[in-house]
This record gives sequence, C-alpha cells and structure tokens, in this order.
Amino acid sequence: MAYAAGYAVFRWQRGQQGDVVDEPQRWTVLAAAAVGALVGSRILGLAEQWPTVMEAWRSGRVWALLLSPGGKTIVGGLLGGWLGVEIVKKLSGIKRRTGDLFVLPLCVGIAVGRVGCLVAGLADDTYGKPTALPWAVDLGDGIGRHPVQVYEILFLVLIGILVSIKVKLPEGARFRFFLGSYLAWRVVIDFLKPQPLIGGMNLIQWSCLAGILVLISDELRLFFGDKQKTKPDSRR
Amino acid sequence: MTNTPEKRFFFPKLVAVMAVGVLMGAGLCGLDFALAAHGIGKSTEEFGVGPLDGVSLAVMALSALGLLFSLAAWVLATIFKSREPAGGNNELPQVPDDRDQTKHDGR
Repeated sequence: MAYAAGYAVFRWQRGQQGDVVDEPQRWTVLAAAAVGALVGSRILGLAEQWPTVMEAWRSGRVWALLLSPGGKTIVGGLLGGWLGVEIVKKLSGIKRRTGDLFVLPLCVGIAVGRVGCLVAGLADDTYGKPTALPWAVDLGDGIGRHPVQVYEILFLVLIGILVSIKVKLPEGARFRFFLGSYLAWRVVIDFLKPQPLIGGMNLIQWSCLAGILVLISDELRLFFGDKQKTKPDSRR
Repeated sequence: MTNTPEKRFFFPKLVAVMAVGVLMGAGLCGLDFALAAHGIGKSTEEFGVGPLDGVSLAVMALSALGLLFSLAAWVLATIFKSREPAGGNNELPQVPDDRDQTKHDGR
C-alpha cells in the first residue's frame, strides 16, 4: 500500500508540475533509485540485526535469513536509492537534479508504511521505549511505549506541507531539504527506540550521520564550485 | 536495433518494477506480523513461519530472478547501443569504423 500510495502521488505530482527530464531519463532514474533502495535497505537492515545474523551464521541458517522477509530499513533505502541515482546519472550523463519529484511521494509512502509498523506491533522491531506519558501505546505486552511511528507520521506531514509551499527554490533543494531533515530526525527519534548501541548510538543513527556529512560536504562543494565559476564573469 | 523511445525505456521500467517487487515481497512480513498480533499464524520463535511467508518468498524469489535478468538485459542493450554508429536510424547493422575511433582517441 505504501508503494502504491507513493507511486500514485508521484504520477499526480508529475502531471501537475511537469518534469525536468524526459520520460526515458525519468525511468532510468526510477530504476536506479529502486535498485539502490533495495540493496541499501537490505544491507543496512541485516547489519542492524547483526546479533540475529551472527546467530543464523553459527546455526548454518544464512539462506533462511537472506530469504526471510523483513530486515530492511527506510534509511538504508533512502541512502542506497540516492547513491544509485547519483551513480546512474553520472554514467548516463544526466545533469539535471531529479530528486524534487520524489519528496512528496516519499513522505506519503513512508507515512503509510509507518501505519503498518504500528499495526505490526512488537514483532516489527520499530517500537519505542517505555514511557508514562498519557499518549503511550500498549503494543500487547502491557507496557506503555512511545508511539514513535505516530511521531514520524506527524513529522512527515509537516515536511510534506513545507515542501508543498509554492516558493521558487533551486532545482534539487526540496529533495536535499527532505533528506537532510529526515536523516536528522532519525538521529533524534532513534534515541527513543530500544536498539543495540555502538558508541552511544545505533547503526541507523550512525548511517544517518554519515549521510548528513556527505550531504553537507556535497552542498559545500557545489556552493564553492558555483562561486569559483561566477568569479571570472563578475570581472567582465 | 532502432531507438524508438518505447525501446529506450523498456528496460529501466522493467528493472524498477522488479526491484519494487522484491521490496514488496520483503515487506509482506508486515502483514504477517499484523496477523500474528491477532493470533493468526506466525510462531513466536526466530524464523517462525507465517501464513503469508510462502507468498512473500515466492514474490521475492521470482522478482529477484526477474531483476537479475532484466538488469543483465539492460546492461547488454546499453553496450550494444553504444556500439551502434551515430544517427541510429539505419535498420541494418553497420561495421564499426576503426578510423573514426582513432580520431576520437586523439591518436
């Protein structure tokens, strides 16, 4: 349902706003995003469950683990999809920034997916830490927990509203704003999830930090690259 | 091989659909967990089997196979296309001209 909702929003938005690339190029970008997201989400999903992976390795059930459903993460999907698109754009010579059209579909898709996470309950491994707050949810074990999935849905609604405001922005700015905000959000919200920690944070948080650093360094490179390009022009 | 727009984006479309198929197959576990939360299927042990695990596995395996084949076909098609002479409107395959390549290499 999440994928269908995301794709429906993508088609609607593309029809409304048009596209910066033609149809074949858009499909090339979509394919790169899908394959990158698949690989990224699976790798980070399995890495996140490293105790289970180690247990499967010891008991000789690696195939069961690899073929088992689940074990994928949104952050891995976003980072993998982003990397996949950048690689394919370089290979196929696509110069335009193509991410803006993905922002609203991603907000909708992730929000719908989070409803599924909440319904799935404890088995989904995306639940929050125990709390005594009045809006705590009991996922079946009699313990009131932070409804982290609901927090994320509200955050995505906010981001969706912000990126829908009709303001003239540079190409790709909406996608970078979404990606940076979502990664920063996950660094914060994952402190409310009982996950195994490495150096004070879980693997998803470390991946988000790495993604944010890449995003910032890319922005700085583009900013200073643009400045250097405009310098000779200003002398004329 | 002609370069009609339909042919140019047939493989990316197929690859995208197959990749999403694998992701959806893996995502079916959510439904399994939701059913388990209501006492239907899925045992509590690690790697427990749920009612949708068969469907999930079939979707994952078939679309993963499809993904591998369509990716390979896309790569091959791209390689063959890049070897086609410029213009690309001729139906008949043409022998690549070595002299032209040396020109591009700047030798």
